[in-house]
Amino acid sequence: MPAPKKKTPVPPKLYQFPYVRFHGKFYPLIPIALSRGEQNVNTFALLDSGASISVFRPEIAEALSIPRRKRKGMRLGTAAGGVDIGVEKIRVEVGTTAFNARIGFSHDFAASFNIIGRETFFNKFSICFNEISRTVLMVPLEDLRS
Amino acid sequence: MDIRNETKWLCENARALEKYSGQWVMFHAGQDTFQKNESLSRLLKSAPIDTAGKRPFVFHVPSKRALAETVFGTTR
Repeated sequence: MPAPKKKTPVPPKLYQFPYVRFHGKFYPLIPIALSRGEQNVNTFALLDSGASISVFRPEIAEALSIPRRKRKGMRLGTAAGGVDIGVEKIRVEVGTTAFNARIGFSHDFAASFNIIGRETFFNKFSICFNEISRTVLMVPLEDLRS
Repeated sequence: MDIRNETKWLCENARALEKYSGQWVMFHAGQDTFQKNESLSRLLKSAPIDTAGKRPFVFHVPSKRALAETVFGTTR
């Protein structure tokens, strides 16, 4: 009787993104695809472990046809003070990893970059920032579990 | 979504994009051209889908001043 074949372990997916340099400083920007119904937008966002939630620029809300009245309100504290934001559940893809994320939008607040905060993102990946090599490594947690 | 090319394109072209601070740019990584506009909606209206059915990427180019004034990190 032949010995049972050993399963070859599949290595987990790993995304490695170099930091992007703007005006002399480096930023961990990652490519992300957003979709809501028929609307979809491919863009970049700053991975920000200091942010509780994600906040994207208001133009992205318009591109995804998110009406202002549908957005659930929330008060966001920033270094510059508090602003009102609306939060929507958006389908996102990073590489081949897709999930629903809660993203805030504001008409009063547009940061320099779209910001990816911890909620609904950082529990999907193991994330390692390397400030020496200026890269960010992301491993989908679902791959690590299997 | 194959995202390596898009990231590579942005890294390689970030310096050249700085002069379009405050504007939106749209690009297909496989092509060496991009479009720019102050309005994202106008840019997306002209968005071509490439032969592989891929949609272009859009990116808001930050200004030096805005970056200098921004402290990242937001709390509820």
